[in-house]
Amino acid sequence: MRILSILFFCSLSFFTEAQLEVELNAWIDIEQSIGQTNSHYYYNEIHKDFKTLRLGIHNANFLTKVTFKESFKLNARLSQVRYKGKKLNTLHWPLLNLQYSPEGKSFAISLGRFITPFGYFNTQQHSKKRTFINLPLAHSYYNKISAKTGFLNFDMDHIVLDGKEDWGTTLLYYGGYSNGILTNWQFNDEKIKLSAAITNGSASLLSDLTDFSDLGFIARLKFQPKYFWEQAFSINYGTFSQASKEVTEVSSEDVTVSNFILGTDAVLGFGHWEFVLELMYGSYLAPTQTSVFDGQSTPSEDNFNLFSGYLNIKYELPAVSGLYLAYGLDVLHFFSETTINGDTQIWGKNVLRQNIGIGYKVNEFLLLRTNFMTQSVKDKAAWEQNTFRTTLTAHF
Amino acid sequence: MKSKCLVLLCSVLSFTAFSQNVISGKISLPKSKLGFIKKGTAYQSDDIKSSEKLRIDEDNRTENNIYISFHPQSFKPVLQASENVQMTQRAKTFYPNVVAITKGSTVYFVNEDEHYHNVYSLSPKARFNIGRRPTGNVYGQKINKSGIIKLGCDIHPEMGAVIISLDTPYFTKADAEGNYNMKDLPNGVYEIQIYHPSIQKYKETIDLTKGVAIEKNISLKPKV
Repeated sequence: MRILSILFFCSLSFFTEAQLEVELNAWIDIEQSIGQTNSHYYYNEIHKDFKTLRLGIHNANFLTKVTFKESFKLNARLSQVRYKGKKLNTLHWPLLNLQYSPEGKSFAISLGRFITPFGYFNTQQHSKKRTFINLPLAHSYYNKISAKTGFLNFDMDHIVLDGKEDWGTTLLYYGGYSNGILTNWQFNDEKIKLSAAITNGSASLLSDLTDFSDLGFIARLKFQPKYFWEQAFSINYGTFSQASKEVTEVSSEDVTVSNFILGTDAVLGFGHWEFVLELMYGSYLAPTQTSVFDGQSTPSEDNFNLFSGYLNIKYELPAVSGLYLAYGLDVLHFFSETTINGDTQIWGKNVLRQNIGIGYKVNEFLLLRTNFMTQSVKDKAAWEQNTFRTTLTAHF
Repeated sequence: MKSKCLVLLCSVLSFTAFSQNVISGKISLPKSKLGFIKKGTAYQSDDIKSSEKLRIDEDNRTENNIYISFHPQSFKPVLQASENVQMTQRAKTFYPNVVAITKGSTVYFVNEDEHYHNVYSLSPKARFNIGRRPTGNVYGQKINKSGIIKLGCDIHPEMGAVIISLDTPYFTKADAEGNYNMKDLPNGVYEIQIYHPSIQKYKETIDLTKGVAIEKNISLKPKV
């Protein structure tokens, strides 16, 4: 990564002013948060050790867009985020791609690591574009589907493999990035936009730049039926797998999960109101615990389906410019009864989340947001996973 | 002899009070070694720009939107509201992206795109949010105070514009080559100001008491 950074900055010196334009942006989120007795990073983004009031840097980001000779662009984000809700991790490049977008043409091609073109929320990468501090459940709540071993079993929250805890995966990778090749198209005076990507894995997969063991296809079609209404449909199909020493020791079969997600999202705006609705249907074909037949353990697979959706309502107070109030309803619903080793059960516990938020743009460089989230999960007291978070976003 | 002196004094005073000055010259924009580095719109803008958007971006370039204003220091000017000041929103761009007005004027925002836009300002001199507006909607926003008012669109964060609200009626826009010509300036002491978001603010005091035409060339510095 260090070599990449040095190469990037050295390459700039080969261009003259007429050939080169460098755009810079940065932002930092300073957050004060408090969780409840059952708070856990994998369920409500609050680390189990940080249930009391805590102030700290949540993430710091440096962005650049370098335009070479008008048609070629290098997009990069250098970032440091709170890893698993605890300590800041090392600097990394969540976004790094080379883009070809000829002037006056209606298409662009990107190669590298780009924003996953699935759904609405992924397009809201900058903190200041997000109404709430919490990520939607589809991006933050860990399902029992592990990339290392498949389905985790009904009575397990997580599994320890290779000495590390594996809590499964979120329906969509929380970081919102994919690796591969992306094409964007615009038609009909920007009223229709199409994005399609071939990636090295499903949109659920947390992968680095160099992992090409999986394959995925992600596409999104956005159109505008009326001036106040944007509607989009997204599709994802791909696999995700990660080598686990312990699993490969007991089985010669590769652990591969295939993942299909279909989604739609709509943005409606009237006066000082904004409504965002996003719905997703997700389906996994995942290895389960081995079944015993004739005294031999044989691997088997099963389908695991779920639905996720949220509705966010935002109202900007006309009398106080920069101030907004917001309400969000977010659900995760597990269905399809699954029969494994004679047990028939629903494979996850439904989650209902409600968010109330207030945001205030102090000036063009500062955004202050506060967010109370209440989350109820079947068989758990509603208040146990509530969170209260306040974030100051400084940006330029 | 006494009456002759009185006539002479009156004529001198009237010449001084009512004589008008003309000031013209050329404004030179800064050339910086780091001119290719600027605050960007990463994560904020579409990667694909329509030909309409490219044309507007060209018109909105810094050299096409330089205003020079003359602020009387020795007398209080009579202010009249600027008329028919319009800022359109077209191809997800404010066009023009800089306008100058006298304080108390109304700026009309026109949405010419086929999707909604809003206009908001967080500037202390004029904080407002006009909400989402449909295609063809015209909304007038009165600006009561003088100062720099930065505008944005909540829906399209890459959009930005500036209203320069002035406490003087004496201002003009330079042409694309940087030439300006300000006529009918009454005698007095003025502070010359030039503001543009991309350059360092320029201020200089000048004494115009002879009713003459003078030439003043100005070289601007890059914004640090």
